[in-house]
Amino acid sequence: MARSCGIRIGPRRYELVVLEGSAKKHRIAAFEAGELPAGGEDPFHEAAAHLKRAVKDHKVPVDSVGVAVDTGLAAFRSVRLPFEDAAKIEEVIKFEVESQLPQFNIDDVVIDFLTTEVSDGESSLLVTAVPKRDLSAALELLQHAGVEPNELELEATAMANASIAAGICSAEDAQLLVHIGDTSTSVVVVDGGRLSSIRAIHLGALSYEPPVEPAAEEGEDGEPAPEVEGPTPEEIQEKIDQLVARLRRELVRSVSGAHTRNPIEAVYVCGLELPGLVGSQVLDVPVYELDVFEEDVAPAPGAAGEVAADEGESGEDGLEDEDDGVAHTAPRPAEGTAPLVVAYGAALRQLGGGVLRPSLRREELRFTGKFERVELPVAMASVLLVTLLGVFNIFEHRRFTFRDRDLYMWIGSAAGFMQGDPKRGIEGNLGEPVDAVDRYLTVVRSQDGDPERTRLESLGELEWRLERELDKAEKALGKSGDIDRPMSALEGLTMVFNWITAHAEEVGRISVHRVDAQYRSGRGSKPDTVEITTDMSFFADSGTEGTYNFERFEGGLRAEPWCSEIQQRGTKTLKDNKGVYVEGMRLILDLNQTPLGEGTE
Amino acid sequence: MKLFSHLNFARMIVGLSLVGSCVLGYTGWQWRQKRMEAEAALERDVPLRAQQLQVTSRRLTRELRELNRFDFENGVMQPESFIRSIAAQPQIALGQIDISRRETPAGKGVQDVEYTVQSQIKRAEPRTKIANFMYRIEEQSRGLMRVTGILLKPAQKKLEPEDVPVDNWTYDIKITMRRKEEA
Repeated sequence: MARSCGIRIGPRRYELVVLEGSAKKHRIAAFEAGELPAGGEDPFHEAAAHLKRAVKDHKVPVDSVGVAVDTGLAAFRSVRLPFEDAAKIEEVIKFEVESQLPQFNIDDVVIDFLTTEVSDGESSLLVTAVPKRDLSAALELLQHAGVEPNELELEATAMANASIAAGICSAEDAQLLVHIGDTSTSVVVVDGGRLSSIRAIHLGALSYEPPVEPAAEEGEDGEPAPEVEGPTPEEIQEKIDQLVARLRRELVRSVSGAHTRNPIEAVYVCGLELPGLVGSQVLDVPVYELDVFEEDVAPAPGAAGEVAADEGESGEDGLEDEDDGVAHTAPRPAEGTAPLVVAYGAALRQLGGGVLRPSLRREELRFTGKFERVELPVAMASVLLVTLLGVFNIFEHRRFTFRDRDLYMWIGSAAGFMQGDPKRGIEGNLGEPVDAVDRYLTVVRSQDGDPERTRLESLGELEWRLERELDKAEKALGKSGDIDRPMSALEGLTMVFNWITAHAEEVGRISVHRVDAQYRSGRGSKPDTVEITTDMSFFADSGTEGTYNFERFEGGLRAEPWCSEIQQRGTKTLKDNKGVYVEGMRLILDLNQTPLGEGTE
Repeated sequence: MKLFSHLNFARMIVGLSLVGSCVLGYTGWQWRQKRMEAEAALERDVPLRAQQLQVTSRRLTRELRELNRFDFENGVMQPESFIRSIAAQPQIALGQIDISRRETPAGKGVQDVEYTVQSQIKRAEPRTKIANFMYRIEEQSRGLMRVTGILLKPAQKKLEPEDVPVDNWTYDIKITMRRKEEA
């Protein structure tokens, strides 16, 4: 549920109202009214601490606080401009009103305006000028109390908003709304439910009291300052009577001077109580208490100046009036609700209620939340970040361009090697151009390269195309590894003869009389072999030595890994005992075991 | 939402800068990745891959040339013509030869086509010629044809065991070309 808070800060007193709900239906969750500490050693910080305590006690929603300041601070002027556009008015209002405010330097005041009437393209404005110094002081006090108000306005407008929202100001008549403040009184004329004029009377309920000075310091000689005797009750009563009489005279002036279309039906008074005012008449116009809380707010015993500062817990014992849209429950002021009207009006506006939209937080005083305070540095940092990232992008892009150029050189060089330069008659090394490869080579050799791929990807694509064409060619040539080729009998025979040549000294002179080398396909787990059947003579000085030679031949071959088996059917001595003859010797070779692998020489 | 309801120049700058920063950060990071990838590739892979491309292109050229010259399956050259062309080469010159052809299955879906080469007139040839013939068959067919049977008999009649035969031989050479069975 939405919560808002309205605070009236006067020169000596304050009121605080916390609302809960919406603009149309809400209740008072808490309120407090009291005097700001004064007369101590550091009245500013004491007042801030006092408000801080109140804010904490009542759980004030610090992000939704509206503040009303003393109307007596402001000067009011009526201005008529020949246009209706608010933005346009904002642009010119300060210059238009400058000549009418000779008492102020225009740069030292906040200028605000309320449109009182719009007709025939012309706007009647009620211009408010408030010294920035006074507004800053109120803001500083609240900031020290831990509150950053969203908006500042005058007591007069807060009171008018509360009254209009409560239905006090009807469309058929006019009213004089009066808020009696500490040292000034706000007078608002509402005509037909619309704001007509505002006036500040520099007389307040506490005007008879002298301003409170800070605590007197000790004298030079260390003696405490002498106590000043205060006025007697009779003297005070006399001053109050004088004050009321002066105020009545001012109200008579206001009633008589009000230019309203409708008759003024009543004077409604709120704020601090002055005896003898409510219930009387001003120029035959009755004076009533301004009660925006309806009748269900029953006054409770206690003095008005000692308003209880209790938190209002909702709905248990309180009254609720849903018909008028203003629902509120206890706690309630110890005596009367009149002091709370302004604070209530300020709080109501924070909930979206109220018809007047004054704004005194302007220019350097404009609302700056936590983010607002840092948004300018953040914006600058953001721009700096974007700039840095932009530079980083440019830098990285340039570095990448250089590397990309290097890649292009490599790829272009390889492509040039394959394609050559037909224009200059240089033949490429890809002697048999293949369309798919050739086309792509032309693409990658161009400066732009393949638009769909990076240089590296282009390199991969080129590799893939070459490999594919190579694979196709090898398949066409029957070189693909999916068929095991038969063993070569030529290779087997060459290996045997190479062995004999290499071991000529061990096996002596050999004469081959017949050779039959055949490839035998393996069956089952039996491997492919080459079977060599041969007739050979081993020449030597004797049959014995010839036999030795043959045995060395046989033993040597058996030691070779590729010689699986040797079958022989004995030897015959050569004529004249010059060696031995081996007929039908079978050598079974497994060429898969040869360290030479495939191929013969 | 309050932030955007009070949009001012600074907030607009912040918002736009944040969006811009995200975009620029992403693109910058991508450029950086690409650049680092390119640098790493240039340092390690690209020179080797470029060289390998050249090697592959040469290999492809060789294979394509061979395919153009020696494509049995596509009928560029018939195996028997190839064998005869080898036999007729100057250093070989085996003269008139007979070639017989036989097809035998060599496993599932694989077929051996065997060509048996003999001298038509049983003429004996020097061992070097016959060896050259067999070597060229295997070498120039780039392993597609294998010499799978060699029967060499000396031309000399009535050769005794202690005789050293003259280096002339009659030959009976079996050449096998293994291929997939046609569907």
